[in-house]
Amino acid sequence: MSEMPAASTVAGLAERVRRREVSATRLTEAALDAVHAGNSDINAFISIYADDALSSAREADRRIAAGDYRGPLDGIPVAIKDNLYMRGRKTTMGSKIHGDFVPDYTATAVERLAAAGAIIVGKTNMHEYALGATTDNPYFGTCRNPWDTDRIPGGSSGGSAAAVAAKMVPGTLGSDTSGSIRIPASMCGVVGLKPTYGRVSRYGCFPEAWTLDHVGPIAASVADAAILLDVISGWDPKDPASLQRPPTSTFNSLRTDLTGTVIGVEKDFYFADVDDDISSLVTDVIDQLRRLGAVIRPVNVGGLRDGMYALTIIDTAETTTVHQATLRERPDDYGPEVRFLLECGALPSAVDYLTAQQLRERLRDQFRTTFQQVDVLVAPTIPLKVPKIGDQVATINGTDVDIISNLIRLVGPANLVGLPSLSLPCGLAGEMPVGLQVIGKPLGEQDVLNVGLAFEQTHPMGKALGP
Amino acid sequence: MTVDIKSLLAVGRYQVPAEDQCAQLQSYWDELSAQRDQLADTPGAAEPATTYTAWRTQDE
Repeated sequence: MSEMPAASTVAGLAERVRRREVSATRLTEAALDAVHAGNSDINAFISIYADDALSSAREADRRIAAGDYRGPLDGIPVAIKDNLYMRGRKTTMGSKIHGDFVPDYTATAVERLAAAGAIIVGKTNMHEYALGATTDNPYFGTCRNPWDTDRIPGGSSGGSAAAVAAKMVPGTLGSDTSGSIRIPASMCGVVGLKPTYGRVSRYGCFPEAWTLDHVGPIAASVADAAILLDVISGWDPKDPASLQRPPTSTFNSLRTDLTGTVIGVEKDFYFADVDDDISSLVTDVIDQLRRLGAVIRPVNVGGLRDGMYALTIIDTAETTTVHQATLRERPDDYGPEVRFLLECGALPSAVDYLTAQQLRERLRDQFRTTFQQVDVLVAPTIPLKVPKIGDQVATINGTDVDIISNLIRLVGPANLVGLPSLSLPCGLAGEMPVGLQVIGKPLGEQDVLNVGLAFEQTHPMGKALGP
Repeated sequence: MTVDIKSLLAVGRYQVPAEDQCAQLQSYWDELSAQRDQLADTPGAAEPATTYTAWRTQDE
């Protein structure tokens, strides 16, 4: 079926929808076929809205035929993580406790998708309450990596990344508090973008840790991530952290000429204790970026290790604050892993938390100084190869390491200081995808996307995404 | 000095988990406390008092 989203990107499909060469109804049917065919293996979806999606698609077709075309997401099937509220729709957060929760309002990011004409076909599997990075969900089942179903897809937005990698839909939304968009994007060989803190409204996204939470896109290409960002970004008075900025217009400003772009490489933190195969791939990327005209500049960002201590304190303490009443009243209704994390967050003192905030401010100053010298930083997204489902320990260059702390280690700093960070595929290690991380200055999504696009267009995985 | 995890949980009025979970929590907290003791330079009164603010306050 040539109309299958599998074969196409949002950008490619959009042009065909606009020309009415393919209908939204046909695209939605194809997406639903792909979901129904693949979900028993991958378990990427918690809810599927077949009837409503087809109804919305038919309405989009009527509207487009009448000349009311709304832009590149019009008529395109997408999916959203199950911690984003949809009025009247069960929104579980991947949990037992919220298993029957039906919100009475819709998340701003989802409203904006719908207003742009996107067809929401369902809600995706996630780590329970987004508190983990494996998407091994005790209530809705284990989400599996489409590249190798014995391996994790990453998380917590594992279903959102797996759905794109399995070519069920060309784009999804996820949330990212300590890497939850970029970790699964890296492991599933797709593109994930955590925008600047405040760039995309979190209104209607169930909180994990409110000073670290972000909503962002996962897609099959850098251009598609830009399209999704442009639709969901912009000021929202309902989110107190929302920046008073208009929506981005990154898609129309994408460019691949890197002449004059200064790319920083921070070896001491971002390349320490990284799997040799991953380090080698990312080093090759840096060489490629130099050949594309970029200037490569070594930099040092002090305070990153202290920052990881701060991230642990802030993330766990804020998370436990969100859950404190339920943790007291019904702790056994959490999965064991999540209950443990919530109990960890009950331990820090107020002094610990505020000290962590001071460390965070220091790190922001360090990044501010660094970004006076460079336009972006590049680094691996994660330092280890994709683990198997159920593994508790991974190996980095022959040394056993804890999985969860290492999955967070290289992506967490961008959450702590609110910087935009993109993960895009840059090769394979052990036949599984490896992610390149591009970190930008505040509000620097355009630079991040441009560097990602320039690399993507020169790399085979940019042309042949997917398992 | 090792902090008793059960006491910390009791202060917050949380239920104390099973013994093996307490041991795991104790191990976690001891490790995090060690990290705190190894911070390059513990912030203090001279640091700017701060709660987290978005970039707009400094960069817009």
